[in-house]
Amino acid sequence: MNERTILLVDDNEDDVALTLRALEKNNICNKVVVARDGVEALEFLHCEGAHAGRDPADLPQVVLLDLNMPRLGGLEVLQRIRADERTQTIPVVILTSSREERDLVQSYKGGANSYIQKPVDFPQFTEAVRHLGLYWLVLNVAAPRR
Amino acid sequence: MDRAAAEPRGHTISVVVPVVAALASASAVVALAGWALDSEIARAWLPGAAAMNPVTALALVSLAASLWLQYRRESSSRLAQALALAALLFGVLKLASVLAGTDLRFDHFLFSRQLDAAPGLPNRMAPNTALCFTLLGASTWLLARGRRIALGELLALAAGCVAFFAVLGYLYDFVDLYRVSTQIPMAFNTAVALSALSLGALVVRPGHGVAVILSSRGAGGYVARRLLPCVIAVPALLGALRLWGEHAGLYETETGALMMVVVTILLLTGLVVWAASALDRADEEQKAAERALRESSVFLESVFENLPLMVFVKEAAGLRFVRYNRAGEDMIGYSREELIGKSDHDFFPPEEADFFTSKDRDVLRGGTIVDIPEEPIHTRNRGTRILHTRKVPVPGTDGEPRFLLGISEDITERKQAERELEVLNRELEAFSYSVSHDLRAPLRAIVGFSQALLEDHSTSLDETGNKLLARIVAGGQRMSDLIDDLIEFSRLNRADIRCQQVDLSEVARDVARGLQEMDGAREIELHVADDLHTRADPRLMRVVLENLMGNAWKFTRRNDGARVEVGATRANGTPSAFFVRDNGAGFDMQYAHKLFAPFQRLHAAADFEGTGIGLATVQRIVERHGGRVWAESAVGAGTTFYFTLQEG
Repeated sequence: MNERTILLVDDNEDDVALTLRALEKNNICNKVVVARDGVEALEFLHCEGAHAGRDPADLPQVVLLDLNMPRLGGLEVLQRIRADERTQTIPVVILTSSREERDLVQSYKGGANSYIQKPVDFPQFTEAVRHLGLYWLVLNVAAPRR
Repeated sequence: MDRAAAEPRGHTISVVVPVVAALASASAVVALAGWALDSEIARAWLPGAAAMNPVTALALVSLAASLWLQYRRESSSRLAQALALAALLFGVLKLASVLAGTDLRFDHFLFSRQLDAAPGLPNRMAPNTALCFTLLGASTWLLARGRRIALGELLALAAGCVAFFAVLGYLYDFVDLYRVSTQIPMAFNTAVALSALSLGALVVRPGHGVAVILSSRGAGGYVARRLLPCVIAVPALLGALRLWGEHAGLYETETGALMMVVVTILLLTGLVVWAASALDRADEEQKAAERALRESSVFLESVFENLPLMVFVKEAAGLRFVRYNRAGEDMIGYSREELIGKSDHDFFPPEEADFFTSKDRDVLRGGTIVDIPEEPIHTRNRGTRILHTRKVPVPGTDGEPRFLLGISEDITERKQAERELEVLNRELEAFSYSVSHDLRAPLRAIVGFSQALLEDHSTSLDETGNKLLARIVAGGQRMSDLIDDLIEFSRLNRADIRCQQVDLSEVARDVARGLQEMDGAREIELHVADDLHTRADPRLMRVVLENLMGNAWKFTRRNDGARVEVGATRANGTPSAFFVRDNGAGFDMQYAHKLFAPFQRLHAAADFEGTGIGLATVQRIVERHGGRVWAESAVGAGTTFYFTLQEG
């Protein structure tokens, strides 16, 4: 049976901690897989490298993707996710500090489903995560897995 | 039919032709009338002298008509030729009969009864008259034909001499001049008529012979027209005068001769002096005109040479350089001697040269200025420079382009500055981007974890501890707001302005709706004037109104009955300044100069929140539109912010 996992891609430990805390505060108990950068995220999705041996059919319900990361940036990860047939249909939510127009446009063009700016204020962030969770884990109907 | 004359005939000496034709014809007609009415005066003019033969009269009319027709150039020259030939025929016939000794009597058939009845020698055409008709007839015929005009004029001159000397003979009572041996002499009126007709024949062709000089509009013609008649008439008359005085017994021969010589010398000297001064005057005028022309030329040369821009001229046919000014030499690095006569292909690489040539051809074809905002050229000493060139065709007197004039400005430095500016802008953008991401992240950690502490571990801390934490959170949030405002401010500075027609009334109402939604509890009396149309960037105008109206909202928070007004002051019906007015807290005008400085605030954060960047943003936007913003206020009495935008 496939559990609805969340893939969280973010290189900033503090942000990861805060996001996990927000999920917890909202009683979202789904398993969260954390990738520290783009390379790790792709390895997870394609069952390679450190995640070789994982079941390829076991894909996350939603990917929370940060943009500013070393080695492979968020937009490139997005591009690769969308380029691969297996992962093409996974919902990707961009979760980032920036509200630069450039980032917004590139993200949507690259096929992101949603774009959220991480607020500094934690209660606000919690609220945002609550919406996120409700929508992508409960309300939204995902594409069928093969 | 020939139409050779370019000048209107009224401006040439040929205008005498109708006059002489009329004169000759008149004398002929009068003579004929004299024969018909038996009037000796009419047919001989001088009492006791020979009378004009009727056939002579006919021949004179024929010649006069021929000349007149030639002058008019309307009808066929064939008629003129025929008329001339008729006179020629008369002359030849008479000469032949005289030489052969026979009497053909063709000059007798007209008015024969009167001819026989007249006293003296039987009236016939005189041989010298016949000679004149031969010469003049041939002359007029040649002139009518338009061939051998020089010969024709020579013949006319010969006839004229014969006739004029006959006139002189009558004047001086020297018979041999007007009578050949024992034949009947040429009549006086005939002699006058023939002289006139000869003169007519000499000048009927304005482009040939003596007519050219006499018709000339220059100093020469002016002098000739006045001098020639004098030089002919004066000696003739003086001589006659002298003889008459001598015959009248007024003085002796020697005295007479001497007087004539003296008067001639005086008159001729006077004429020469007059002619000389007339020619000198013409010369002076010529020289003055030349001087003015030279000065103008020197001035233009100087302007061309000293223009601080590169100026060059190419001739239209082969696009070779014909002129280059000093600035051009400095720019290109070649002296003008090396440049003139060569074309672009001799100096620049083929692609550049082809580009220049094709642009040149466009200019010459199009007839208008061609503007080349940027073109690189390789110079000899200064590397590659960027030029802003304008080329324009220069037409000749016929209106066709003869030259190409080019003016080039060296914009290399300016382009360099522009490039540097672009680089700076890009660096600034990168900086902003970095700030946007990298400053916010640690801030999240500070605020987030502090709030986490407050939420989950408030019991582990005492009241003071909790308050301290709360202040950390507040500080972080404030910093976040500042970062947001800074980013926004920086972005606005770099954004392109795209002006279009904007209805500020609409924007204001929209902003008000947004403000109302965010702060739904409040009731605000809002007045927005209609038709606040202007030309500006809509997004930036929105930012301005968001800031100004947001301020109005904020600073009326402590009012009962808040009132916000958006409108425009008008001068002559057109909006001169827009304003946003509130009846809120107001500020002290003595701090007005700090109002628009970034991060400067006139109120304590505890009273009214804000980063102090809003008004700086407004000022920046308004200034970028070419306008200005200012405020009027009093503490507790509300505030009005005015702003203008450049029209158009």
